[in-house]
Amino acid sequence: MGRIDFEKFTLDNGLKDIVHKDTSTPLACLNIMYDVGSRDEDPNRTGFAHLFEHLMFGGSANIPSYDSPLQIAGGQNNAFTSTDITNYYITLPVENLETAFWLESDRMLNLAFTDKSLEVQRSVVIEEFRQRYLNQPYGDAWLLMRPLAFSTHPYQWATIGKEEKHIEEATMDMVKAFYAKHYRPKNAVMVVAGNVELEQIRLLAEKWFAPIVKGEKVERKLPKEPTQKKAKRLEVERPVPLDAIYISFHMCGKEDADYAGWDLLSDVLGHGDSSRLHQRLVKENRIFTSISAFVMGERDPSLFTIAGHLSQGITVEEAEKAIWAEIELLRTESVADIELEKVKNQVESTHEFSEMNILNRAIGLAYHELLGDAEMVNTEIDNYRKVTKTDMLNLAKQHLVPTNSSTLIYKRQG
Amino acid sequence: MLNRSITPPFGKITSIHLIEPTVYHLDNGLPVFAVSAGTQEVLKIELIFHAGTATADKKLVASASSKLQTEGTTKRTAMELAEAVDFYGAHLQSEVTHDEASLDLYTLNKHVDNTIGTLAEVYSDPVFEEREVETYLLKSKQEMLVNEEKVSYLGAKAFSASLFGKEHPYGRSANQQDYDAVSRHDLVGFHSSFIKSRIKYILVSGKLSSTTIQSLNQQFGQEKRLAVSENAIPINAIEPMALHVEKPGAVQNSIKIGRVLFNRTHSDFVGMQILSTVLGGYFGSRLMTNIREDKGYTYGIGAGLVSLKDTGYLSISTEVGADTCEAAVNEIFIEIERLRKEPIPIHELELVQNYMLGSILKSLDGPFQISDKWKTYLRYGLGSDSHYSLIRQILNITPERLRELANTYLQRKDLVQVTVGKPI
Repeated sequence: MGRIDFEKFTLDNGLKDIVHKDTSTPLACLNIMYDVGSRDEDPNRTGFAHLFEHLMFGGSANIPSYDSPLQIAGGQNNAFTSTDITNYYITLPVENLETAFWLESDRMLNLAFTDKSLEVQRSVVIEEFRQRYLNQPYGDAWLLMRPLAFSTHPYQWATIGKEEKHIEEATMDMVKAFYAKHYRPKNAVMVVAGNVELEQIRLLAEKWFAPIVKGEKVERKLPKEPTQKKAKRLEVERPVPLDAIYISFHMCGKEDADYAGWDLLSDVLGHGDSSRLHQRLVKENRIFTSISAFVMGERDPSLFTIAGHLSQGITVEEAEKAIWAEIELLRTESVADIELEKVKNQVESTHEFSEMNILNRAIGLAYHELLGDAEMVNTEIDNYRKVTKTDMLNLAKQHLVPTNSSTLIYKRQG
Repeated sequence: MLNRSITPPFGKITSIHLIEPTVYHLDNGLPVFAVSAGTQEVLKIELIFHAGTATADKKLVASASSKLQTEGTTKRTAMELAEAVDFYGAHLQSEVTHDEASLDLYTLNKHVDNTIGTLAEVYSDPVFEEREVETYLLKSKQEMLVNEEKVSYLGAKAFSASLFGKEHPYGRSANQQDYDAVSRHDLVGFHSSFIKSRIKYILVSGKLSSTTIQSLNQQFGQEKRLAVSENAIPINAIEPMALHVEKPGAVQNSIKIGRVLFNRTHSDFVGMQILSTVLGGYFGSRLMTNIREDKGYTYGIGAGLVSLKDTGYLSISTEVGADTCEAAVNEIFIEIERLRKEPIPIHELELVQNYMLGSILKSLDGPFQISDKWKTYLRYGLGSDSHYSLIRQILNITPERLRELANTYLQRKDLVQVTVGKPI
């Protein structure tokens, strides 16, 4: 397997820097990942981490427009927010790399907050809310499942936020406080990838980022989700053509030793055309038109989910029964050796394919450094190789039980 | 003291190297284009056919035939095939566009010998078993019901029909009844007329080994090749009009504006590509700046050219709050009008030129992306000249020329307008 080589250094202000050299591309990538996501939000002001990501493009103290100077240097950029992190990246010709340092350091130094920018981005985000969650069939399923499954932990709201109102009510003071708390060097990891030298990157980082005030590492004290004691259920009706079922189970977080086992369990059950759910419930019995199983990959204890669209004429009871029969199989019989080998091979191959461009490699390095050590990008695969069928049977036995489940029945209206 | 208000020096991209594929001919004359590049031990093999949706007489037949190839052969069931590929972490993918179909294998290099046989088998021997056909049609029919709840999907359908005509191979779209009219017989017929023995060429990319071409020759170089007939698709003039499709309860409306133009081989193609980039082809474009960043009507708006076999079209597309739909349509026309009336300022044009060159550079990051680029050229029988000519044309374009193009091609009377959602 292709190893991702890298070198690291840390600036005095706490900014962690990783350099990944790849001589095969004329492009360079500068990626900055901030250790802040929607789980860090106040329950009464949700959607804030993501709204803030939008504001990061509104210009900074010394650079009124973020996009134009980058575009004129032949660069492209984007960003995303999840429950755990907020990530910003630039790709551009390697000769113009300093432009990326200039832009990213200035917005880490100080943003130019304007009322107009806040007002516009509030409405852009509300349109995003509508386009992706409200105006799509089944688009609000996760807005319903998260608060059903989580009673306490901030994963109970999605990154977009609980409701449009929270975004409408965001004020300039809140925005500034959020920035001051989370957007500090100590709270970030920077990765530079491309045909670059460590010393060259160290000089650029010293020049542009070292003058930024350190700030404090944010102490995270998130409420712990209590163990679920009984099955939860919610039924809603929506104008959709087909009924749908979502069943989620609480599972461990990304850094837990059991995570790889959970991930493989979801693959056996519902990843790809040869998976159990697809073969038996879509192809053989035609109970569902589509069905899959997946894990969220979140850092704190999160969810293992089975989600499917029912075929017309099938009742919710029949469909649920079919899912539980598959779960029962996982709980009583070990997966076949060949099945286990298959899902391990799939993980290995997905990993190899996903690292074909420098941007993905840079994001992978940043994420693992944030988890504690960038080297895990290379060793993660070993955790998967170690999983045994007994591990998987034990996970299923212990956790795939009705008392640990949250079921969302998404019914067709009328 | 560091002066942060001064832009660090940067260079302008003036040339972009495009890796040339090595061309091989298999024993039966089938051309193979091989792009050897990249750092990862992976391979992608694409079989390209002249078998797009516009090729089939009957709706849905091309896409159903493509999807069902992998659902069973004379030797193995769908489940056995899926297991054979999945076991090695490989992936079979079939794709259909208006003009072409492709059957692709993604595999780790170390497993190519274990998986290439499955690719060859689903290419040459699919059975289109009755029950598989039925399951697929049932599933697709129901998925279509889900899609029909999306304003963007309804907008795309109505837009194609407005551009080319409801019955035209590029303008038609399927409805629920069409699924009932597709039979196993249609699929077998389509496969034997357009797929079997009719590979146009093979594109292979990734880290090629010394035996890759040999393996391809064993699997695909021995059969007798049959001729592929590619008839031109006539384009009929359609009176442009404004159409609104009602979708009660929609929170957002879909807007699509555009017109029929031409494809990549036309001398004005690159000019129009630059013009549509200025209008709506990047984050700082005029439409994004006006409609998203100034007014907050939308999460995103874009404009671009689509190149088909014998024609092409311009498409401007967005979803906006239902209440701001009319205002957004007006703003789109104001921005188009400005392109016709005012020359594009030099600094803006320079920015767009550099942006476009940067994005071409980025579009060549990795072997699969390079082979995708080649696919867009090979479709028209073009070579790397076209790539270098594109770079030259981007570097040499002038505001005057763009204004001429805007006046030639962006007259309001020639533009089709489709909206979907709440009544406006």
